[in-house]
Amino acid sequence: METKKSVIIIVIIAIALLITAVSLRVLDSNEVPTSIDEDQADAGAGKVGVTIIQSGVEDKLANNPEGVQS
Amino acid sequence: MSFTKEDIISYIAILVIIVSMASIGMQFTGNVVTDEAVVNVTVSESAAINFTVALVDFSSGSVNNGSAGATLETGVDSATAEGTWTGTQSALTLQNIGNVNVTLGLMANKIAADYLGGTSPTFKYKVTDGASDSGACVSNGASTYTEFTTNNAVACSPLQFQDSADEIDLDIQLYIPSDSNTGTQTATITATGTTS
Repeated sequence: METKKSVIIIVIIAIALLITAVSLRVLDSNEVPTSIDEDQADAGAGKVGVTIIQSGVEDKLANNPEGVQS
Repeated sequence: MSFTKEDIISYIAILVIIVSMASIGMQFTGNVVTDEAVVNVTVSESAAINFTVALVDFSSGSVNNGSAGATLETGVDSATAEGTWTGTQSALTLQNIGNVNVTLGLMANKIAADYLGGTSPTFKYKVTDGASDSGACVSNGASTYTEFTTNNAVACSPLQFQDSADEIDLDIQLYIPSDSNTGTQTATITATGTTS
């Protein structure tokens, strides 16, 4: 019975050390973290400006003979 | 000499303990045959676009007498298009200044009817690659003059980010009818870049 207890203790210690050793190896691995985020950007604003002047009014009476009435 | 099952398990466990401790010891002391140094850098994606030419000002003028309307266009002398506006205006220029391709959307704050008024006005844009940026706009959705709307319309899918191909020209065309609004009229164009 005493022998069995000793074996169990040794096995538990062995498993614990094995897990520790493997964990340390994994943590020391050369992983390069990467991430992709969705991103949105505004460019500010473009402006389009125009100034519209009222067109000159054509003088359609200018060519009419004087005194002619329509 | 014979081994019991307990003996075999004990020997294996002791072997595992020795190997594990040796491994852990190497981790902490650094007493290993070879070692590697790692330089770790993470470059985040950053979407950014910018109007490098942000203003088109057609200045002042009027529709020629007797004409139904005048067509003003960047890159074209307005004096040849039934109007008295003078000079040649440069196109708006937009650049992807980030480090990732973006889907480019364009919209205006006014449609032609609100911006210019009158009978059948138009307010259009056309996208072309910058002079030294061939291939900047992939899948050009506005390779010919396209009417502005107040909803985001995809123009480039994508606009690329490499310095050799990250700039586009945004040409503007206005048709100002003879019965349009008068005075100074201004419209704002918003460009949005989205990464996928």
